[in-house]
Amino acid sequence: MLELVSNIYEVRSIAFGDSTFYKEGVLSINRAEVEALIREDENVGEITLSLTKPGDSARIVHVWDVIEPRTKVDGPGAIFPGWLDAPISYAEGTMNRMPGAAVVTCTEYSPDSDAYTVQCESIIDMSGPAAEICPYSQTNNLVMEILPRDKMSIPEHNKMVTKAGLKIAKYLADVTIGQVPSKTETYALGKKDPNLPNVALLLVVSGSTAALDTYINGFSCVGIMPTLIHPNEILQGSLVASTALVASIKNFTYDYQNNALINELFKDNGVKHNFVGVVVERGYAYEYDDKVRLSSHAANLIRHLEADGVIITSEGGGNILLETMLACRECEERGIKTAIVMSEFCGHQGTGSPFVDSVPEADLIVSTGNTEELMEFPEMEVAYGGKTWIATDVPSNKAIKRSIYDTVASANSMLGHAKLKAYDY
Amino acid sequence: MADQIKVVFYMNQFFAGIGGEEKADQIPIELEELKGPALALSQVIKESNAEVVKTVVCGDSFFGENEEQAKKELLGMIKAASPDIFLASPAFGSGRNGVATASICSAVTQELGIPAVTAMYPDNPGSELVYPAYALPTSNRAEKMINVLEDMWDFALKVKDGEVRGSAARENYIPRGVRKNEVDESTAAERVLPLLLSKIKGEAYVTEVALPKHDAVEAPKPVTNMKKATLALVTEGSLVPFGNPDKLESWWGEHWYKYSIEGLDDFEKGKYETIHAGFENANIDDDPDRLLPLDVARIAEKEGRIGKLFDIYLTTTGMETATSSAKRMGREMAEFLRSEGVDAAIVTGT
Amino acid sequence: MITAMPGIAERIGCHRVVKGVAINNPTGDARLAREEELVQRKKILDASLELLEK
Repeated sequence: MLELVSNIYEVRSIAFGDSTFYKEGVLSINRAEVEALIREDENVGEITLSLTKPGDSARIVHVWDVIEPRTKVDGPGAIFPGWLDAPISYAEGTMNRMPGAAVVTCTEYSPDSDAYTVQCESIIDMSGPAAEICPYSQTNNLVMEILPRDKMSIPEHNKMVTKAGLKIAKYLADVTIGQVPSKTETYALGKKDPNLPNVALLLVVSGSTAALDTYINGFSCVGIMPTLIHPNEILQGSLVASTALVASIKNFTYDYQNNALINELFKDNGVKHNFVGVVVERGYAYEYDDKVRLSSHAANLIRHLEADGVIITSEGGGNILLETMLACRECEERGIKTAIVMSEFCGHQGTGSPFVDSVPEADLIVSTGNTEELMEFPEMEVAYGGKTWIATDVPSNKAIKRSIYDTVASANSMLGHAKLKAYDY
Repeated sequence: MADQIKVVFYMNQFFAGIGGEEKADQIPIELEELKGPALALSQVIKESNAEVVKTVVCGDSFFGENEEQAKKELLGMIKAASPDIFLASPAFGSGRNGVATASICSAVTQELGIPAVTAMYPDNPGSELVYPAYALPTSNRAEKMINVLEDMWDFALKVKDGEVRGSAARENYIPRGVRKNEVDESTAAERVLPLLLSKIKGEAYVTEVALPKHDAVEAPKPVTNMKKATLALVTEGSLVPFGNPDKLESWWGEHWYKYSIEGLDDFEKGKYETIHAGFENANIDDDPDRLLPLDVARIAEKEGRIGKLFDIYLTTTGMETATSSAKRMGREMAEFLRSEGVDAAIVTGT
Repeated sequence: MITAMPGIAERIGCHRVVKGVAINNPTGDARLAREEELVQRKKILDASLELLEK
């Protein structure tokens, strides 16, 4: 049986210190070592490191990615395969993880970058109303603001910052090697109980251009056909985020590592249902026939898993809605029952319809809230990651009113951890 | 002693005892005396130190066919009485009555700032018109009038005191087409799995998000002869002169612009571009006719297959654009094109 | 209406819908040679003109 053992080392506080170590819930970080590791990439220019803790009057802006420190300690394969080590991934072995801590990378595109990729703001408020709806307001964060040395293409820029984040996430977790964990969990799909319904998970992710991308074991999802992937691989960092999408509905690497849907499917696995596997489909295909082809193939893979039902989730908004809806239709036509996790676009006043298109088979949709609702973001004492709110003159620590959508990291995430829900009023 | 609460009540011709269907064209009037549900209400609210100070009546057909005029006259009568609360008689399953009660309640709250409550069967078409006022759910048949009035009164007092803050389900009123966020106790992941398992097992389940319903649009009549017609080119793909001189938004579209194509045979690379944030712009920037087919349209004009190509093209941005903005802009564009004698338009979407 | 996603246009109430090439180029295709592209674009226009008379 393929089993992943996860050793847990909870982080309750974080501080800069003379050396990097973990002891009794405290994570100490040596700045110079972190910087030196990031500078192994010659394209890196300015680096600014800071720390934020839950409850701080602090804001992090221009967030690119969030990663939980993890490292593989036993068994074949590596953590974040294809980024730091050979692109070989295994669904078994042992890893150490540090819940309560997160590496947050921030960056800013140069003003003359390709205008298509409007850089979207993405913030984490460590206190205040936005903290209630952002998962990274609850973690102790090492904030790494990384800028390129020279002008870079957006895809190269993204990769540089992504890799730095993963590298440091592993580096931090490495200090737990040899220590006794506070808790251990195991993950296994196990043998199917024939009396229980089989449930699969379909992740529809970015994969249309080099700037709106996701990586599987270091390989770009642009143009790929849907693929099977073991959830244990996802827990070890096989899926890495790399998309310049809006904050509240983009997937961060942390959301893949701590995928609430995967965790929920594992929880009562073998008791209330059989968790039979995960399919990843890239979305945002530009041609309709491609969307149909992708969703049809995804449905075939889900059928191959002998799923009776599938939870379908996606990332972002706009035309990726069609891949989601078509996947729903194709699954239902093959006798597989669907439930969709979806964020809504009801406009600032909440009076618009939640989304523009659907298929009649989409009769079970769970809400992750109206993304376009406006929120007041209060003034904070300090801000990290950038001097002003993106594309404004407003200093990043100052108050502003904006929609959740293009502001609060992961607040309406369709990967399932969001508690935001839209109600009829 | 606390101030007395002043209430104005609305009824249609039937509940006012004026007549049935034959009197549905009753013009807006004030009643001299309390009758029917107005009288019943006055008994219900007495112990709250409240009084029905005025009753206004309008026929269902008159309201439906002269809505603006009816509202104006009724609002005048209502305003003159300075009520603290406005109630409209339950419409139950009657569609025309429901539209009238919901519309007048909505106007009273929106324009006079007065809390307003009515009641009707949830499927009554009026229920979609009542926001920002409220409609309580009733049965389809007109029954239990006193109970309904009592519920309406209790609810109206809560609205007046600012105590109605929760969702429609929690506060027990009919959903009004507005959705607001709340932080739930459980995550989406925790909610979705049990629902899916119910669906798989054939048990009952309720979706959290209903599928969108769209307005039916009447098809404009066909062009009788394209060879004599004036055709306009329109796009939501943000096609702008290079440099975007009017600063059209790349997303959250609110504005639309007109640009001349007089004498142009195509959109030249480097002179036009797209600034739409919803897709990679390179292909269109390379040849903007890939967004709006000016080149082949001009050829069609020269070959006589189109009477005339309108000298101006219209553009906006359709990414993350509010439906209401899109509707408004579409209307404005259509009005402009019609005023310029345009017969037909080709709209390209991305 | 020319769009790569004709289903959406139809469902929201458009009556005359022609299928476009792709989201990022509804009336063009960068993969085709210039002459082929013009033929394709003319076909889309002709289909639109035909619908306008129906």
